[in-house]
Amino acid sequence: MLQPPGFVNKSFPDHVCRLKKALYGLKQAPRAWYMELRVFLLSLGFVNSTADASLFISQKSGSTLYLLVYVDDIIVTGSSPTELSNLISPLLLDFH
Amino acid sequence: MTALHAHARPNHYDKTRSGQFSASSTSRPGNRKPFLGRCQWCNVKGHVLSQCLTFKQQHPSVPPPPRSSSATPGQVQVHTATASTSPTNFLVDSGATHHVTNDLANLALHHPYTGPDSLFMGNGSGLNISHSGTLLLNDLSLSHALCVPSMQQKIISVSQLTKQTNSAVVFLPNFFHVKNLQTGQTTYNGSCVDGLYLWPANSPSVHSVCTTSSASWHHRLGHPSTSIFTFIQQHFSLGSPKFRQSDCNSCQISKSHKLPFHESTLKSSYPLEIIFSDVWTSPILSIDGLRYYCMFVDHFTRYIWLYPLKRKSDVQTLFPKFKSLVENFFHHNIKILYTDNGGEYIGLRSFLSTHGISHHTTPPHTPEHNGISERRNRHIVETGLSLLHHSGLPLTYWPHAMTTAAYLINRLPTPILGYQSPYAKLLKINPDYHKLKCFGCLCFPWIKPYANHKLAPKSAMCIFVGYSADQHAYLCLDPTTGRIYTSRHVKFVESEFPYSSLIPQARPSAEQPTEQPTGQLQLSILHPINQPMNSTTLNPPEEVSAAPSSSSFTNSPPLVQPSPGHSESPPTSPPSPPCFVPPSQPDANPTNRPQTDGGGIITRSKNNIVKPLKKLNLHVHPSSPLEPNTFTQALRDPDWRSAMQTEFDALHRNRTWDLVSRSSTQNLIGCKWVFRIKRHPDGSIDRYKARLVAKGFHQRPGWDYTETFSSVVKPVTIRTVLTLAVHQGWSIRQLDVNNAFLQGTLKE
Repeated sequence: MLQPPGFVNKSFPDHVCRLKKALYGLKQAPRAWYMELRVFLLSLGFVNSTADASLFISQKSGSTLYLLVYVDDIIVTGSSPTELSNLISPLLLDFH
Repeated sequence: MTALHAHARPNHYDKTRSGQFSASSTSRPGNRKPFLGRCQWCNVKGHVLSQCLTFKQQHPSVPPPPRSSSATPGQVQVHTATASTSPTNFLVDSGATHHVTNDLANLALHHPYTGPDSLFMGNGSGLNISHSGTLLLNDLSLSHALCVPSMQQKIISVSQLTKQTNSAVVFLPNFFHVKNLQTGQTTYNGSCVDGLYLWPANSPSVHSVCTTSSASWHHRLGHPSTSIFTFIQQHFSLGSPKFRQSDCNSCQISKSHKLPFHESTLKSSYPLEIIFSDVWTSPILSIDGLRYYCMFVDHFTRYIWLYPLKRKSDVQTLFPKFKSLVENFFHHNIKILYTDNGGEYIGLRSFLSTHGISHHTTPPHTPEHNGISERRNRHIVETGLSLLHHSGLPLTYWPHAMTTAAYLINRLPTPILGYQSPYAKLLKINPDYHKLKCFGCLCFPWIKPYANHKLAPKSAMCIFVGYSADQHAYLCLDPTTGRIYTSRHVKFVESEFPYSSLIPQARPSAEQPTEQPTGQLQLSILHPINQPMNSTTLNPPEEVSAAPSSSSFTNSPPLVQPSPGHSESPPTSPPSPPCFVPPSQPDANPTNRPQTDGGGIITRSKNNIVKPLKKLNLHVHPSSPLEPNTFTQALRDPDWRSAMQTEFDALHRNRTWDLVSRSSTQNLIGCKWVFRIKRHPDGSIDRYKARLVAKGFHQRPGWDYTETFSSVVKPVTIRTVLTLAVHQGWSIRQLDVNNAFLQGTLKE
């Protein structure tokens, strides 16, 4: 990507940005975010629903958590409030 | 031997040379002093050649020179010598008192010679001198040169040359040279050809000086016009007269003006073939809220149709009506419409094209092309103003005046039509001049049909404000109510123009609100509203009162007694029934102006009181800063600069990119800043937000990315989960991830 206007590196004005992270406007940005979130949720023991890719379900020790992803909005609900807050705090830590 | 002698007697302008010259002349008639020199012929003292008896005996055919003593017997050789020498060369002649040329072009500055003298030749004959002036020769400028057109040769006088250039001329057997006396340097060398000393220079150089001097004279005189310059040239002999003003670029650049317009070559052979149109804007809003009039002029008959308008855009509805009206009436179709480039006509184009009318417009800023319309405008406005001024009506009645003016102009003969009136040419009948009345005069229409009861007055004092366009009737303005009656049965008092006397008794409340700020000054001057009631003796105060009384007619002359049966109209029209039409017929004819009907009910719109347009009030916060569209706009605002810096730092912290050198194989995509103002619910500014956005549309699928996906919850799923949560009484938490997209790691 071209260097952003106004913030061109003075020593390397001809250099370009090789994007490592997604940016707004990129075609693959939503997918990159989704994959990032998905990897994180799977590491927490969530299972991606086959019926709806935006639904993640976690069933641990009798409690069930449902997590819905709508682009960058997330709704979490579940039988156990403690599990809920256990989930939210790392989420906020990682992504907020 | 001196070949040629030229002697002039220019004693009227050069005394010194004249004196010098007379030293050589010896015996004038009446000179009593005995001659001391010798005769040139017989070498005997005491007489000169002209008195030499020996000479006379030997040459009985040659007349002796009358005065000059310097003629020599060599004059025959002169003619033989002239045949062999080039006439362009100047001969250096020590026997000549003046420089002589036969070509006026040799003299740079010259003026006609008006003196009585002539040039005396060696044989004693005199030649006429046409001009005297300055001879330009090489670098020399020799003054007191004479132009003698009949001379065969051009001569440089040695005595003049030596004096004027302060030099010496040395004659040698085969050549001569001219030396400057001060420096001693030889300035010119000349040769002796066939016994004549020829000046080395040729005269063409002098010619070039003359031709350029014409342009420089033009400049010197301050770039006069061609005719003036030619006059000066011809009368004062400045330069060659070939100069044209078009040769001077300065004149072309500085004196550019509109070119004259040629006589119009438009030809029309029947009415309505060519229609000229224009919209005139009044500086004053009329009493019924009109500001414009639209005028159509028929080229063939010069007939004018004039329609006062509220808005310019009304032309778009007016023209189709006008077209169907006139085409139906005259059974001709409008072929060409000539207008200016006004937007009101641009909007008509689709209508014109569907009806097969060619629309011709004038080039920008050349109203002259629409000359017929513009001249009619001026004619109408000037006539209308005269009508208003004479009648004392305020300028707010301009639509009535202009309509009447057009009505009258149509009925007046015009020289263009061979002193036929447009009305006569269009309708093939002469206008009825007896129908015309003085605009703004006192009139009494028969208004019995409007009366509420039988005892109500049958007329009122009204002001004649025009002719009904579609009826054989007159328009009568009742100034007390502002109502206009269209009546055929009107009695006129054409000597009285009662507006100024009637209006103080008219309800001021009805008149005042119609005044516009622009027209207020004129209005207050024309009819002072605060004028006391007693100033008018014509109208007793009871007429103003609501109760009508018949006494209002007692003051009037008996002539104006209302007589409904009597008709002022021509006898061809039936005297009855009286046609009284309610004044407003908006759909019948576009000429119908919105008249103040309804007995003086003043609405808000009549008083030009309107609500402000809501759609113009879109901006709730006109003072709030606008979101910049470009990066350079944002750079000027420190708020946006800091917002961009924050965003850039966040991207940097996130290690969004690495700086790498450019490679030609890579598809390079651009990026731009997007600026948004985040507001609180009350409209105040929360924060300035700048975002760096990649131009994803530069990306090519399969090259820059392979898959795209956005996780969107299916409605079924969200409903199911929410129903579940509600049923089970689970708590629902909602998370909003900041900069969600920036979290994604790119693999491509």
